[in-house]
Amino acid sequence: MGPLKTLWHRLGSPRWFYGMLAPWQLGFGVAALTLLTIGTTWGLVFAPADYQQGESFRIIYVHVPTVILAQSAYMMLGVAGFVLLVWRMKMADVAMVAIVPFGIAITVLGLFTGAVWGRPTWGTWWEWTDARLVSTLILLFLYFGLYALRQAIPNAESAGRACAVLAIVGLINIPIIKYSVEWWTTLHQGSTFSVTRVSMPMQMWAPLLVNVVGMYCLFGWVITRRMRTEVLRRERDTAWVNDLFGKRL
Amino acid sequence: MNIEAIAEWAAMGRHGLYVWLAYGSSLAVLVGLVLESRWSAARLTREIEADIAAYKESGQS
Repeated sequence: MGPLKTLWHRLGSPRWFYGMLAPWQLGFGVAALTLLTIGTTWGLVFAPADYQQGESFRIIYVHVPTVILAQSAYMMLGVAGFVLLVWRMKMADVAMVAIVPFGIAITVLGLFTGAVWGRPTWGTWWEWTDARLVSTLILLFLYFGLYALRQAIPNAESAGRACAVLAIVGLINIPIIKYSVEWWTTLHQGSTFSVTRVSMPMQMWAPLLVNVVGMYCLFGWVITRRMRTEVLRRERDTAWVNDLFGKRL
Repeated sequence: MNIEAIAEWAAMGRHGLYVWLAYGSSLAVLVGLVLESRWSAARLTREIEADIAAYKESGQS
């Protein structure tokens, strides 16, 4: 049996999954705190002001990482939904439960910081005719829909499958968000950030890279923490959970 | 770094309100998300421990 196949079988064990995630949670936590502190300080204090936008451009150091994660988190939801439907892997359902609250929080933040940036830059908080803005709002509604759907279906297994279907169908919105700035003439500018193509001076781009990586680490911390909680919640009446907590008493 | 220099930096040109609103809201939402994740884990741990304690007590009496 290859190492990948071994991993696949181990993922079927909630006990192994719970323990395996502990060091990842710690690592993501330390990395997120370090990177976001460095990136934010660098962006706020040391990066030069933009010659056109002035100081308000500094909002990109929080806006760009949040909207990137809003989309990445949704893509992972879609992948988890696919894995749940095709292979019936329970840990994929656990991942979906963990990702949705993060998605709601980060998308609200992405829309809000975008509006706060738009006001001094475009002269408006919000523009209904802009495809990038509206498709991101739809992303938020998809997250809300996934949250509500799970609450609405009492049977946990049916709820998981229904959420998986909605998550996969909603994936269609991701390329729409990405290419909205190219397909339609919009107020929103084209892509600001790319790892391979540096479209701004290095002193402006580097703190943005640090914050994007830091935000992925924060996502990692929140998801591992919430997945572990969800595993415990589902397994609370089993012997291994009793052994784990019984020892401390 | 003197007080005027810090005040000038904090004013962010004329965009201080927008910059600090964006950073303040981000800090609040992200810290809130982290705390909520920790609290829900701690709450569940307390519930499980209370269950085990109640079970042990019922077994001993």
